[in-house]
Amino acid sequence: MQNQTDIGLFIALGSVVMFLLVVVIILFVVVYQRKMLEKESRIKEIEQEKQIQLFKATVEAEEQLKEKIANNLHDSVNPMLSLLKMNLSMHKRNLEKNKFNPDSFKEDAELIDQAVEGIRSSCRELIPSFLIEFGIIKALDDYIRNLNKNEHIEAVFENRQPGNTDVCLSKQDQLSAYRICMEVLNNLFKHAGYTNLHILVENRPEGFRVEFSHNGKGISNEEIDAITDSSKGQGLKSLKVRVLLLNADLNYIKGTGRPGIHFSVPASRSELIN
Amino acid sequence: MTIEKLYILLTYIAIASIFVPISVALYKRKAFNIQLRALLVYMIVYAIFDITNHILTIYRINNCALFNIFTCVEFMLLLFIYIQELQIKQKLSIFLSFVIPLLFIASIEFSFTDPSNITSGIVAVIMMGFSVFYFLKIFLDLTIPKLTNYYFFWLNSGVLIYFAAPFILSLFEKHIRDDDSQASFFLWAIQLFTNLIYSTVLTIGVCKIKRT
Repeated sequence: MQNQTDIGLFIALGSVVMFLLVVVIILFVVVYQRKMLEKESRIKEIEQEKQIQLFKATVEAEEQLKEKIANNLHDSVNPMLSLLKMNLSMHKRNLEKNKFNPDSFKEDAELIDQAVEGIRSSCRELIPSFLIEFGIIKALDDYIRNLNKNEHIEAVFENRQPGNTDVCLSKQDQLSAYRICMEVLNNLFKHAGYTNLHILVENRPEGFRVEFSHNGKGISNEEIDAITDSSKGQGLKSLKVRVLLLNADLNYIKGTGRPGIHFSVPASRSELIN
Repeated sequence: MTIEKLYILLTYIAIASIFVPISVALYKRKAFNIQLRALLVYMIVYAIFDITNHILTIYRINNCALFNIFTCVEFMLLLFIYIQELQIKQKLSIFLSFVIPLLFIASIEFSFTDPSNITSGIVAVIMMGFSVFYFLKIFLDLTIPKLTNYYFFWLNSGVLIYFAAPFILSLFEKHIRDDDSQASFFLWAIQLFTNLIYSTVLTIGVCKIKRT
């Protein structure tokens, strides 16, 4: 009789334990999913914050460009046009007094030439005409040729497919890629302290690639990320935005061999179709 | 319906139920990685054991030797699956460090007439440990977006339930065997019911595997 009661108790206990086990598993799933949702919303918040920062950086980059154009026009074109206006007033007065000297137009023509050159130079900064006409490879080659005028720097430009200057990028993408290259070269010039620079360009059906290697101070991806995230990395933030918008990849190499930066852009969609 | 009839009915349902996840697994076998292939082998071994065990019971032949061998094979296959799924670094050494001592204990305890209770108890404890460890790991990692859509969650839950039942039963083994009343049938019916749950959970798990 006692044995029968014991078995009944064991069965009841066993059933309760099994039932509890199932309940614990169900509770586990509920708690897990709740934690997962929290994690996902945290990730979303971080991503949103990043998006906002990127948007801010884009706006700042645009503002900087506008400011640069405004400064260029103000500093180089405006004084000349003001001077020209003064000259014209003077000519009017001289004409009224019959003291007009036709040679004085020469000076005015020079002023107009200078103003035109100033406007051209601003336009070049907006859209480099060389790039539009000859493409990114020639534009980079041209930039390196100018860089070599600096007697402290030895820069070498190499095209993996010599003679071929066609690239798998649309004009718009070439312009963006060129701006990124300019920003990279500018950063290297300011911070790497190199005396020897080697640029290798390679055009492949799947994308365009530029390798910058130098004998100066290298920087890693982690260090760049840290500077970008800090308040002083405004230029790097806009560079990051440009890279993101182009769906490109900018990789900072440090530690093995010569330090450098590898920049690769996937082929533009229309170029791929072609 | 008497307990005995319920027991027989449950036995047939439990045996038949294992063929459901096997069929689904065979259908999806092209998408299987190494642990899933091991799972398929395990399910086939499980089905063969269940059928043979039942035939031996019908002919009143002692099935303890078969049970003892199956306990070791089942342990090795499940351990292999867990080691693969948990992506443990030193796979072979971990596998051997569990298997060698267990086989040693099993060989000492082995008998043609009695079940290896110590061995099956140890297997149950280790497998429950792995199951709890897996739950803990996924809870801390939080890498699976929807837990119920992941096949191993179901397999792991099934393992926990499947081994918890014989573990509880093994604690009362003496009472069950000494008593030949309807209570022992009822208790073994719980075991069969657990097996049925195990097959169902395995089926859900295998169904969650994406066929490529």
